[in-house]
Amino acid sequence: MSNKLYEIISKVFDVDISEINDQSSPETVERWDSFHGLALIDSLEIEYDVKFSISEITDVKNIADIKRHLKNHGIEIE
Amino acid sequence: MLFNTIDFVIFFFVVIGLVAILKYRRFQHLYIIFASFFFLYYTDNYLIALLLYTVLLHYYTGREIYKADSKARKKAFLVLGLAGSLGLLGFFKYADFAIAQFNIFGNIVDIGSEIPLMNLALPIGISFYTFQSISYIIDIYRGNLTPSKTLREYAFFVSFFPTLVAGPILRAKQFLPQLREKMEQSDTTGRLRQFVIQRSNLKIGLTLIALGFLKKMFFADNIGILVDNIFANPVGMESFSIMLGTIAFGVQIYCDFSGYSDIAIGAAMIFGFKIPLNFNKPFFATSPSDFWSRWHISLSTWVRDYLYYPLVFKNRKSSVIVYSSLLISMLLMGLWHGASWNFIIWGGIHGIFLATHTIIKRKYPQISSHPFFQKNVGKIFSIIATQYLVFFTFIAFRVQDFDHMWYSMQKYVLWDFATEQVVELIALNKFPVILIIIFFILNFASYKHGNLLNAIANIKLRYWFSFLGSVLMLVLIFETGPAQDFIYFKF
Repeated sequence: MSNKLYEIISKVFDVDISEINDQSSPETVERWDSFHGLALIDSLEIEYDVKFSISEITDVKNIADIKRHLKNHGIEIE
Repeated sequence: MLFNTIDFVIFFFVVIGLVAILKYRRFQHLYIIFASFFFLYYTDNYLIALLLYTVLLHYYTGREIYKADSKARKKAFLVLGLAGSLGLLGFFKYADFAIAQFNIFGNIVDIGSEIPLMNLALPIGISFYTFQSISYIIDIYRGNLTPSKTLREYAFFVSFFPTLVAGPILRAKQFLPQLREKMEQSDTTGRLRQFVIQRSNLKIGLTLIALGFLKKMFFADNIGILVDNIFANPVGMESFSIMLGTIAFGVQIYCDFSGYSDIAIGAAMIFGFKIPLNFNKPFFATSPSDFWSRWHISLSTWVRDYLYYPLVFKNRKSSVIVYSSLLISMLLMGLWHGASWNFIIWGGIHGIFLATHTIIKRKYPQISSHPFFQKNVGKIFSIIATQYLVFFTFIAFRVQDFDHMWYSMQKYVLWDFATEQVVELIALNKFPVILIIIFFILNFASYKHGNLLNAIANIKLRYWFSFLGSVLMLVLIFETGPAQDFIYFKF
């Protein structure tokens, strides 16, 4: 299941999927800025059919946090 | 008190010393709160009442937001907290600016009389601790933070003296867990943990503090002399002279502000607190948005989370909303720096650069994936192009007079290729120019190494003492006179 999530992240941030892990963050992914951050939210909302709140999008330090928020929406990603 | 004074050095070592030897550990945090208020009182006297007001306002509104059983009630207390602190900041920082603009408008429409300025003193640190407190109550409102259970815990967070007057702007989510962990009673030994000065933290903290003093007192203060010479009256100067002044100012403000941040982060480290970086090699940024992920990070992420995202979140499909939100956020960030049009212009220019870059990324996503930009030559091109734009904005940051600013900007963009004046300037200012070159060499070395701080902190003790001694000697031999204010103290 992580693969699908990592594929989306790889596409949005134009980064090789092998460079992504749960600790990947704006500090380690060069293109993870505000603009691409919003683009990622859009892609995840479409893919997983969820709606994130502003509380959630401002509570993301890394990909592990994204998984945690998806889990709160009933999407379990290992 | 300024960090770069003997007063602060004495104060700091007294505080560390007493924390280390204080027998009653349960009072250590109170002692540090007292020291923090004393630190502010030393510079600002009775204006510490404003810090006290901010602490009490946000502590109580934070608790009420958390306890509130309806969204309307939560919102009401949030608005109360925001209005209370932004009103204070607005009054002290922007009242005279607003009056001056009204008077200018009045003169244009010929109202007749002017409102006298109030000539209010700007309370030290108010921009920083206000933003820090606002993020606390907003995070509670968003459900991302549980409030402090005790006033002393919250007072410690807001007043913590290393970061009180010029940041980094702390986030409660990152700082309070560390504080709570120290203040919790240890249940195995029965001893209170509180603050333990550990040798490893002391060494790396002192290394960072030394680097901060080196940046500020050796680099920034000495390069500032060249900047002052050029921008005292830039009208009539040639393009390369203006560019030299701009580069010098960029290096000065980076060394000044990142030097301050280093001292603050190093001091916090000694007390056992990990504070995120405030600068991350901004002169190697490859785009405007990359620059803002590396420059004054605590402020840029604050603006992103508490201004830009709220503005854009609900309507992010609309390009107009996205770009105008970006511009508004950057204009307000410029205004945060000071009640002056040059700072607003500085923020606005950055907003335009960011919006333009975003438009290009959206319309032509294939550009950034082009093979040219994956190679070193492409990266170097991106860095140089970005820094050319970034240093252009520094003109607005430094030059308040509009005529001087406009002249300097024109000369920066439209080169006259004359060299006689800049050669003479360099000859008359050899020391600052050499410092600028040394700075870029060291900055590049640090960028390539990746963790120069740890490398220095881990060298053998006798070499480490030599490093500290060398920094002290450079700072003392090349000091420029009375302690120069840190630039960001004015904000």
